[in-house]
Amino acid sequence: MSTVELRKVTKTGPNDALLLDEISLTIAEGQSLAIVGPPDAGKSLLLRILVGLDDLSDGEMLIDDSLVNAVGPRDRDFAMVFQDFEVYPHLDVFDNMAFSVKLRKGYKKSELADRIVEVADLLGLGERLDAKPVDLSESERQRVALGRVLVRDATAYLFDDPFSTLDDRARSHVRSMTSQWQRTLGRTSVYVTNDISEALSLGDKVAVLHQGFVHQCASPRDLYDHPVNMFVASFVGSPPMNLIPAHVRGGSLELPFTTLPLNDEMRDRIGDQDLVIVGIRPEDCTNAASRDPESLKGTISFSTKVDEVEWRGSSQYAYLDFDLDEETEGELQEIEEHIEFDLFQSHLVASIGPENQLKAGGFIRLAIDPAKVHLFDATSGENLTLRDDN
Amino acid sequence: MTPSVRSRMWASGTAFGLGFVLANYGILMVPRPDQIVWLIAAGVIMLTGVLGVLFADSRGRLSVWATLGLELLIGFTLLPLGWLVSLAVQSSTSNRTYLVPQDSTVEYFSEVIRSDIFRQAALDTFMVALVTSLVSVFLGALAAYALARMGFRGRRTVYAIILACMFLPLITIVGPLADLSLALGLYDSRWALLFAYLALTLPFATWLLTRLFQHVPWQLRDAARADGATWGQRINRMWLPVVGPGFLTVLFMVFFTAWNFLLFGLGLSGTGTSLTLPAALTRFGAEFDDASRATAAASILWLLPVLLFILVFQRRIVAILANEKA
Repeated sequence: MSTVELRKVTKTGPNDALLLDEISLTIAEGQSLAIVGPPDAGKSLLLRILVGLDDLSDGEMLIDDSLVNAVGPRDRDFAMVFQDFEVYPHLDVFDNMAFSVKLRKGYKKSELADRIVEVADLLGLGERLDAKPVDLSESERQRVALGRVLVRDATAYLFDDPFSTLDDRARSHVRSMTSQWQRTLGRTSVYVTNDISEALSLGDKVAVLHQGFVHQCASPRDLYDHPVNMFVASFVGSPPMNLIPAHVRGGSLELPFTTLPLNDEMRDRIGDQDLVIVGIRPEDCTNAASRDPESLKGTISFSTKVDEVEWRGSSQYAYLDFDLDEETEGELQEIEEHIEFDLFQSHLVASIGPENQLKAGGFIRLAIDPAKVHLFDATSGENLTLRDDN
Repeated sequence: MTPSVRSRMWASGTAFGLGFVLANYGILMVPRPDQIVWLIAAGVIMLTGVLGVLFADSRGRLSVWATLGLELLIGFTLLPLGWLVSLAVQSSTSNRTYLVPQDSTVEYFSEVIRSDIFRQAALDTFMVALVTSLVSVFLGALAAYALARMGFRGRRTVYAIILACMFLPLITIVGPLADLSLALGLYDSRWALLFAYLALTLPFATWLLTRLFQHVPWQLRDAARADGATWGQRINRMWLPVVGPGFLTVLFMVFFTAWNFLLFGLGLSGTGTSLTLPAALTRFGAEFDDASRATAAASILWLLPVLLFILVFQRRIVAILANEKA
């Protein structure tokens, strides 16, 4: 097991396109890092650079403090599951799992066989060891690809979207199995995924990658509670954080449906800007009627019309539409184009306890705790509420 | 009657009628030793019709039309082949040749094998076909890799030209090629044949290999590199077992295409010093007493390797021609 470190790793593509921009990450020994981001963020490319399939254009990569920029994949000795879960078509399941270990001298045949049988049983492939890949289902092939990596004793383990084809049941089973394997054996691991909930559950740390650079790398809880900018705030969480434009009017913030008072400190940080973005998590928009009146002290509450209700058994979401003037809409569109991500909706999403009877068209009184509200700079996207933490 | 049952009834009727006509023809027109062949064929076809009627209402898995078509196809293909065998194994003393051999002899085979013209032609054909297929598979692989893997400008046009070359009417280029090889001093040598063959086998090989390469899991290269395989290990443990069989199939397909070329052997050799097998067969009249039986024996010797190849490689040949993953 080893520590893997990237220092200002940069990768340029054809025509000097910047694919990865000064990425610095550390995966501590025995820890797991989840890299998450929208499609084409450069996640797979980062894994290819880690494993040694692609060279980096600039920067340094270190394994246990020694520079490995020029070291080939064989000597880096990483184990990797590919996104399209390659399996060798000419080898049966057993030989697929043995392939990598057999490439190196000094393994014990019986030990290897024991380990393969053990891993295959864990993955539910125990009966399929003699099967050829053509006779396997897609999910079985993916598990073989996973198994090929789990039997190895490698520097670190890289997983590129390893559970994509499994159905929900199999996914949660294989995911918890992999996670347990990683934690009990202390395997240094990197997971790449599009799915934020998968990233939050798998990574000791989660790096949010978009447009070729890391927006934030933190523990899952930190990432959720203290997003550094609008992109992270919106990307981490489902449904995403409500991002609502607000105009500064005489010491308070004017939202489309209510007004938020500002304390002196926040007023200082906003400075003379006219437009800021207010971020509120859906679960922080609470139903005032179902709360103890004592707890409503200090909250802002307002009554509004419910336009749509989504009941999901364990949760319930209320959609509250609001209108914006054309000028603000234009500004929001500009921000979205710059960040290349859909940040804004024309409704507020509130997570209301599923036990509440809600009807579309009815009215609800929402209570919001100002302490849980994030403020974002409209131009830079930075989280203004965070500044004192750093 | 549902439409599918009606179609089945029509098929059964057609089969029965056809079998009936065939049986009558056999009884009335075909001489005694061969009558049995006609009657068996007629019987099988009539039986198809009868079974088709009997099981018309069951949801069978075999279409009667398809069965009938298959039977006719087999009949038409096997008949000339059977005739060829009968010719080669019957002695010329039996004054008339029947489909069902009346006696058997290997004298024509041994006569042909011992003759210089056959030995020379077999060697020439083998050498030229071997070199042609090796060269065209090597060069074709380079072109096919680009066609299958690289999205360069004009890729479709190049592919279309290569396909068009395969349908070139051979006879149109035999004259120019003969002139050319005369001018270069290659006429009547294996070299002339080699270059002429390449003009046709190269596009064929390129086309087959492009199809093959489209189904090769190229990403395996990354997987194997990440697994830590060295260059040699990737070749030995992955590429050879994964692509090797398909490659070998293409090599054989090109080899036997060259093996079968007739026109160039005729057009590019004057004296018989570089005569190919099919071309040599046309000269047997002057060489053997019983030319037709010697030709038949030589033809069988010539066909055997082709049949063997098709039997052994049939699954992969179908996969490549049907553009499937082999």
